[in-house]
This record gives sequence, structure tokens and C-alpha cells, in this order.
Amino acid sequence: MRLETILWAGVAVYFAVIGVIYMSIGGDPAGTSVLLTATGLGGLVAGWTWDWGRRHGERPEDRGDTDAEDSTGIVGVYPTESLRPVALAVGLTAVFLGVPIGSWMSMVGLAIVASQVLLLVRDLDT
Amino acid sequence: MTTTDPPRHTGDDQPRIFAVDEFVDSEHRGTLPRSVAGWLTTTDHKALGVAYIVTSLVFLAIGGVLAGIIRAELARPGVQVVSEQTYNGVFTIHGSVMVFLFAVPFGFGLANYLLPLQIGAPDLAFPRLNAFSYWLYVIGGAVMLLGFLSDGGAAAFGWFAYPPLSGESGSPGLGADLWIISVILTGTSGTLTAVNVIATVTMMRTPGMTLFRMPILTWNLYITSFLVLLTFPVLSGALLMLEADRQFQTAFYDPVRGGSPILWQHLFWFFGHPEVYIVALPFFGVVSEIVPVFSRKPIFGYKGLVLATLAIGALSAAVWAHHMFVTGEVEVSFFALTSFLIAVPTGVKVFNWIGTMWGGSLSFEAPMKFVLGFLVTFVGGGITGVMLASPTIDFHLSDSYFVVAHFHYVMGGTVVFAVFAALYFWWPKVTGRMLSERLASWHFWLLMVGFNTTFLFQHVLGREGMPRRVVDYEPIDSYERWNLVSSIGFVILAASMVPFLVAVVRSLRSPPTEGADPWEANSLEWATTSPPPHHNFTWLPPIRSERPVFDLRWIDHEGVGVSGVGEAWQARQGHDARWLPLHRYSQQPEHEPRAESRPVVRDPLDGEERR
Repeated sequence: MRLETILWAGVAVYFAVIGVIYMSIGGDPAGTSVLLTATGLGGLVAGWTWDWGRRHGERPEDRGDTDAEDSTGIVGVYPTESLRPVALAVGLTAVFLGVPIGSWMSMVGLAIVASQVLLLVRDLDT
Repeated sequence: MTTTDPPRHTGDDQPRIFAVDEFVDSEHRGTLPRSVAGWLTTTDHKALGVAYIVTSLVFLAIGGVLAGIIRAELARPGVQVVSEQTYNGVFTIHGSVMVFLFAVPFGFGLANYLLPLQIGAPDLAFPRLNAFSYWLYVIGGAVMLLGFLSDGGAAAFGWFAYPPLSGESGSPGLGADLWIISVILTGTSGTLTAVNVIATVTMMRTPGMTLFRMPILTWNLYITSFLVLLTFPVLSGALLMLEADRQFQTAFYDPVRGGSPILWQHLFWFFGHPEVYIVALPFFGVVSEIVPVFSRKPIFGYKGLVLATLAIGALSAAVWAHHMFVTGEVEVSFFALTSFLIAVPTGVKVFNWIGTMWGGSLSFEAPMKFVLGFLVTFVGGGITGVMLASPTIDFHLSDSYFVVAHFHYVMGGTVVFAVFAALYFWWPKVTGRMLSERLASWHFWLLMVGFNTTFLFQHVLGREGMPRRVVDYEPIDSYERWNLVSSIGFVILAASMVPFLVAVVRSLRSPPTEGADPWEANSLEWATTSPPPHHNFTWLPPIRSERPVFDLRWIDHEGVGVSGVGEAWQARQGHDARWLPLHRYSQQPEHEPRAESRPVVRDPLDGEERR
């Protein structure tokens, strides 16, 4: 994870520097704020990878001399096929379409989204 | 590294080179879902990747039809084919479809299909999130096209939707709202895919696949995803504000009530310029995969390429206001400087591709032809880009056909050539069949002639002052001539799709017989069956360089090519028996052979049979 952390920390530093430069030459407030916020985006991921690396140490994929067999066994679980992603997409579209078309549509959409999110969460628990 | 690989067939040495098929169970081909329900519920990255690519090509066809309407209208002065309002809708949706629904999602399709294969992962990190992204993209895209059916027609304010034209009084009617919602939905879809890609690259690489051994395509998709995370939420926010202005009477962009249209331009172009690289970087990756294979050389300057991509990604977020020079409201010198700077890493890339070809053993199969087409159009568009980065030239040429020609070279030509390069290159992997080389030649030359006839002369039109986005123009000699030439070029361009479609139909009707590695390529996706089985790999080669499959073919030649081969050879010798086991996932389907019941593989080194 060290390399990943360096990479994302670099992103944070870059945007801090370019944001300050842009601010100091009198750049517009919108641009200044998105640049400085991007620092947070890089910092967030850098912080997460740094913390993960601190907790779990070096992984086989960080080393150049490991083979597939160095991480055998069950390393993860994949979800089964599901209709919920489609339903969720339909629901989210309805939420937004309700804005110009009528609030009833947003209500229907919200109901779909809420029910599908609930079902998804329940699925993952079992 | 400047070593040249041994030529493909080395006479006496031939028996000592392994075909990847000797290691792979070629009979065990993967399948796509066969029923409607199967497609609706699938979470398989390969099925969704194919769905992304097919859908984006359908949108390419729709965008192409809209382009045809534009060229038909402009072939002669006067208003003949469509009304003024419809014309505005047509060019708006043409641009939006091509950018939001074709170019970006095609890159995500590549990310879906190839990225897990290239890093030795069984799937993307979040398969259901991935399915959700795909469906959001399809439904969002349909919402945009529905605009044509609404009262008052589709959105008609150009793909960058400047207020106050895109505001409530400028564009009344449902079409504009549908456009805004569609872009929010597809943008959200992109953001989620980017999260998926970054999580996959960070957490799902196979052992030995360090960051600096990832294929360039994977690197570029990784950096693209960062740019998506950086910019798509900004666009979504800006669009939500625009929709609030239209529906809830807020005044973010309304100058009459104290808002600022310039604010929209800043937010939009903060998205809009990185967007160019979000579109382009995956295709730079495609080219970086193809050039070494058909040059029989390792990529020239791997780390340089990665760093150049990082530099492009970083700089692209600091150039946005060069689209706004003519507003007179921006820091011209800052943005001119950064815009010139970004030409440097881009030039490094072109240099690397040429360096890879230099002294190589070149062969010009279909993917390589399209890559050369890509280089021609990309360098052409890049040069006019450097011209436009100069504010004095931009003041003169902004909003003219020169700009149209420029970005059709950088975003149209580059993308289309690279898309077809990718299709020809990975077609055998995805389908287990090849595409006809003869039809590919027709396709390539028609596209090359058609594309350049259509867009090259638009530079002249722009220089002579023809503004973009007009339905009619003055019947001046040069305007009439070059518009007619451009429209004829479009006919050739459209005709070039015929040989491709014929080749696709023919190929799909033949049986899948291709082996794992028909091009003798380099990266991990070629180390598995074509098409790859469920969860991709039953077996992985050792990874000791950025070209594991090359190393595998030459594994018996200690010291050939890059130093990695020797190490792979060592690993192969030392840990012979430990090669086979892989990650296992608890959801392995029934028909999949489990690790202990794997088919017997004849060991190509010692001839010994083992499981």
C-alpha cells in the first residue's frame, strides 16, 4: 500500500499547491474552491490506504517476487445475480424525472430506491 | 529498455517457444447470458463489459445519424432539411450523445471487460454496483433521446448548455430538463464506475502484480477514474443548480437576479476539460497495449508513459478556463501557461509510441493500422490544440469551425480510430473468433479518407470566419465549396462502417476456434481462454515484469528480452508444483471445475502430466 499512499498523497499536495497559486493570482472563487476541495479528495484516499497499510502490513501484490499461490484460499465472496441494480436505476431515474414532470413520480422513485436499498442490504447480510 | 524481442518465429528455436494454449484449457470457454432475465440480472464484469461496449456503439450509430442530418443540412446554403430549432436540437444531442453516451462509456466498457483480466482479478471489486452503473447509463441515455419526443423538441443549447440560454426563459419545455437529468444520471453512473475501478486496482491485483507492472491500459483507466471522481460530481452539482434555477426559481446563474452565468462556465469547464482526458486516456492505454505487440518490442519508456499520464491527469484539472478566454473574465496568462504545459506530457506519449515502433519488427494487422490512424488524427488535433491555447489566436478563432475541426480531430478521430483498434485487437479475446483482415483494410482506408475529407477542410472554413452551430451560411464561394466537400467526406466516413458490420456478422456466424493468445501479446488477459471462463482464470503465470505473457512464451529462454524473463524462468523452475492454485471464491458456480478437479495439464517443460 505504500506506493498507493504516496500516489494519492501526491494528488493532495498537487492540488493544494495549484489551488494556492490560483488563489494568489486572483483566480475566481469557484475554481479556487474546487481545486482546494480536490486536496481533500486525494487526502481522503491517501489517508485510507495509509491506515489500511498500517493495520494489515505488506500484501503479496505489493511485492515483486510473489506468485498466485501466496494468497490462496477463499479471499472473498462475490454476490449472486440480482435484479436489484436495474430496479435501483429505474427508481433513481424516476426520482429525478419527477422534478420537471411532477412530484408523484419522485415519490414512486423514492419508494423504489428505498425498498431496493433495503433489500440489497438484507441480501448482503445473509 | 531498448532491447528488441526475438522475431516471432525463430527457425530452429521454434520448438522452445511455448504457445499460451499449452498452459490453458482452451475447451473451457466462457459464455454470456442467454436469456433476457440473464442479461437483466447479470453482475459478471465480462457480460457488463460487452453490454457497455455494444450500447455505446449503438449510441455511436445514433450520434452518427444526427451528424448525417447536420452534414446534409450544411451541404448547401439555405435551410432545407430541418427547421432552425430542430437543427439546434440535433447538434446539441449529437455532441452530448457522442461525449456522454459513446466515448466515455466505451472506456468504461474496456475497464469492465479488460481491467480485471489485466490484473489477474476474478471480477471488479463491486459487481452489483457495476451492474447499477450500467443500467443507470442505459436508462439515462434513453432519457436524453426522449427529448426529441417532448413538446418543443430536444435540448437546443449546445452540449455545454451555457445559461441564460439553458435557463427557463431561454429554453422552455421538457427537452432541456430531460437533457439535464440524463447528464446527471450518466454522470452518476460514471462516478460509481470510477469508484469501482479504483477499488479494484487498489485491492484486487494478483500477487506479483505490483503497481508498476500493471499494463498501461490499466494505469490509464486508474488515472481516468481519478479524473472522473474529481470532475463528474462538480458537473452533477452544477447541473442540479441549473435544474433548480429552472424548476425552483433559484438564481445561481440568472444575471437579472444577481446570479452569474460565468459561474456555470467555470464549473462546466472544470468538468469539461478533464473530460477530454477522461475520454482520451483509456484510448491512449489501448494504443500503448497494441503498439508493442505489433512492433515485437517492449513499450518504450514504461515509467515515462505512466508519469506522463499522471502529469496529464494533474495538469488537465488546471486548464479549464482556456475555453473561456473570450469571456474576458479569466486569468489568461495562467491558463495559457498550463495549456501549453500539458502539450509536454502528451508529446512524451507520442514520443514513446514512436520509440516503441522504432527499430521494431513491425507488422500491420488491423489493430496496428487503426493505431496509426489514431496517431495521425491525434497529432493533427494536438497541434491545433496548441495553437488554440494561445489566447491571441483563440480570440480570433473561438466559436468558429476551426474549433469544431480541432476537437473532432482530438475527440472524434482519435476516439473512433482507437475504438476500432481496440475492437479488432480484443475481438478474438471476447468472442474466440477473428475479424477479416481484408474487410478491415477497406474499413480503415475508407475511414481514413472519409474522416480527413470531412474535418480537414473545416479548419479552412473556420479560418475564413464561418461560425459554428449555424443552420445556414452566406453563399460565399469558399463556404459552399468546403461545406460540400465536408458533407461528401461524411458519406465516405459512414460507408466505412459497412465493411466492419459485414466482418462482424461473418465472424459471429463462424465457430469460436481461436486460442488464448492469437496476437502473441503481452498482458495477462491473453493467459486465459477466449472468451475467459467465469471468474476469468483457472491458472496464472508468474508475474515478473509488465509482460507476463511474453515471459511465459519465452520462459525456456533464459535471458531473452527483458530481465524479467530470467526471473520468471527462475520462479518457474523453483516452484514448479506450486503454480496452479489460485484465489477461490465461495460463489463458484456448479459447472466450474473446482481446484482439485482441474483438467490434467501436460507440463510443456518436462512432459509430465499433472493436475
